[in-house]
Amino acid sequence: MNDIDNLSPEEAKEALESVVNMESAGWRRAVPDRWFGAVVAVLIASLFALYALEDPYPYIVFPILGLAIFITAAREKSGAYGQDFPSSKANVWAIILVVIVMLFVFFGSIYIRRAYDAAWVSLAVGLLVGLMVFMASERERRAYLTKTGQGESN
Amino acid sequence: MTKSQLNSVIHAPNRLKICAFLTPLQEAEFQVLRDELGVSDSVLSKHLKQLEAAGYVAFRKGAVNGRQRMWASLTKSGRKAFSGHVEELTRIASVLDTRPTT
Repeated sequence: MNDIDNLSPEEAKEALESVVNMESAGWRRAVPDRWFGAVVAVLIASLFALYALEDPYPYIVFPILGLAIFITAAREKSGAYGQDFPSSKANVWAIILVVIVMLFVFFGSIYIRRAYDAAWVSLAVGLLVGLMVFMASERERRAYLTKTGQGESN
Repeated sequence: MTKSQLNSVIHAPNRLKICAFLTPLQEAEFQVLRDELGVSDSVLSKHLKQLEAAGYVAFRKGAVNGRQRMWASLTKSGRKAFSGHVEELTRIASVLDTRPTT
């Protein structure tokens, strides 16, 4: 594969095969562990559930800091990680929609909590959001596994 | 044989592998890249420097447990160049599909 101007189709095919193999290796490295999604889900759920407290604001910093420290540590440990933001427009719009819905649920739960003194609403929202985050992380994990050709079994 | 529009920086087998490996990733650590490619530190350094000189790879240094680690990522122009290179390889290889079988 040295003569770049006169590359034969066989050499090009061989190069493409090595590209596919290395891309698969990259996807394998990027597959997040199941516990990664679970811990992120618990931390985000706790952020929402904290609003069950009378005065949650002194404690909000803990799950936020926890998320930042945990994600950084997990990435440093893995030695490689996938893209933060999806490249396709459809996925970007899906994320924007999810963030809007989350904000609506978040501020809605705070309103209900204050208007009706219903602490369980914040706990229920925390649980719901935690489940949503975990399901999203599992979906992403399966998508990564599909790209590595390993499917669900791993 | 076909006169091609291949990228001469990416074309070398190890640099092609580096770009392919980094494509699905945001960042990969130097040691991870070295293990995946199965090359020595010096060989990997040489290829990464060539990719960096072309503006295709960027580096970030970080410390984990007091140890210095280097992270590599494909730049936007690196992704574009790699994508164009793969397109060209695909075009050249497609000749194989159109050849009559005897």
